[in-house]
Amino acid sequence: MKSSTARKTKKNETARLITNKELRKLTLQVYLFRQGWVVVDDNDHEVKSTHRTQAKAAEKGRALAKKRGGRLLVRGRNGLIRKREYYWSGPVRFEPLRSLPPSVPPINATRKAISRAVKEVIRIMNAEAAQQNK
Amino acid sequence: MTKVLRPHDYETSVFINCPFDGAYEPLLHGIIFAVLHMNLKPKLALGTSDAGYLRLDKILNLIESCKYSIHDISRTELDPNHGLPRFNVPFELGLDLGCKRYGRRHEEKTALILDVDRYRYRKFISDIAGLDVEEHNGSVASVITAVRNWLRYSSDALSLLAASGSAIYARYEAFQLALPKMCKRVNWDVDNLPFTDFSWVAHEWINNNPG
Repeated sequence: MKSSTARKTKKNETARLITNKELRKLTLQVYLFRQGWVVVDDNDHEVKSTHRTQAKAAEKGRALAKKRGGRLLVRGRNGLIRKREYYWSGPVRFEPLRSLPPSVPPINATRKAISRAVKEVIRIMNAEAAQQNK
Repeated sequence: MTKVLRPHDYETSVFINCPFDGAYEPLLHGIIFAVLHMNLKPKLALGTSDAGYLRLDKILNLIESCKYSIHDISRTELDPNHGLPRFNVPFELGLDLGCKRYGRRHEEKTALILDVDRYRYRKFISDIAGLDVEEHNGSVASVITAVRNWLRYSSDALSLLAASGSAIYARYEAFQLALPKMCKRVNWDVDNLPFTDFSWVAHEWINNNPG
């Protein structure tokens, strides 16, 4: 029998939007750093704790991630993510990925002119595709 | 409490170390497109044009400011003009690995090494044995998939909604079809497109044409 304190899922519950900024605040990472395996807060890069083994660090990270209802990323020695654990409370959705602007400004045209040209070509191509489909 | 300090936009920058000749351009464009599609910023030595810095300083600054790096060691042929190979790419790969090993705050750096064949490196740069080398066989589709898969497992920010390698390649093909038209509108020569301009067009295309 379900306990009365258990979280009840509503039938038409809308998924909560987690922005990229919010996602960073909710993320903890475990990786090998100078002193050993560290649990680091992704938001301010603060080392929460240091451990001798990855498993111990992951355990600590897991507890913190559960507490904040966030996620834990465990990286291997090679720096690649080995494990992703999510502890969201309720259904969630994320911001669609948007390409970040390059770090160097364009050389031969303004950003505005490029944007305008791209939008015009997309509009024309979409119109052509729609006509072909008719 | 200790803090892991990082340079400006470190987390979202990808250093691309590859040949810059015309024959390699399709692969370079594919890598740039894949990096932009994965919500990260590509950075190349070509993109910095500050004459006040030595070339090596520019490269060292780039390596230091990027968490991710892509090294393509596929160009090992002898130069037809002087009969010597070019060592720039392996040299910069060494600098990057050194930065990760000895640089404070750079333990988290990750690198992707690309070659035409997965095990070919053993014949000319066997010291990197043990590092993962991805093959691309000179194909844009393979290079896009290799970059996408590597970033999927290296970066945390984009892991949730990353498109597949084949989906990114399909979008890249559509982008390549539209590129001459877009260049014509801003009076650019599509065959001589600087890296920064290409990046900006690709960035605008990805954001304005969400698949």
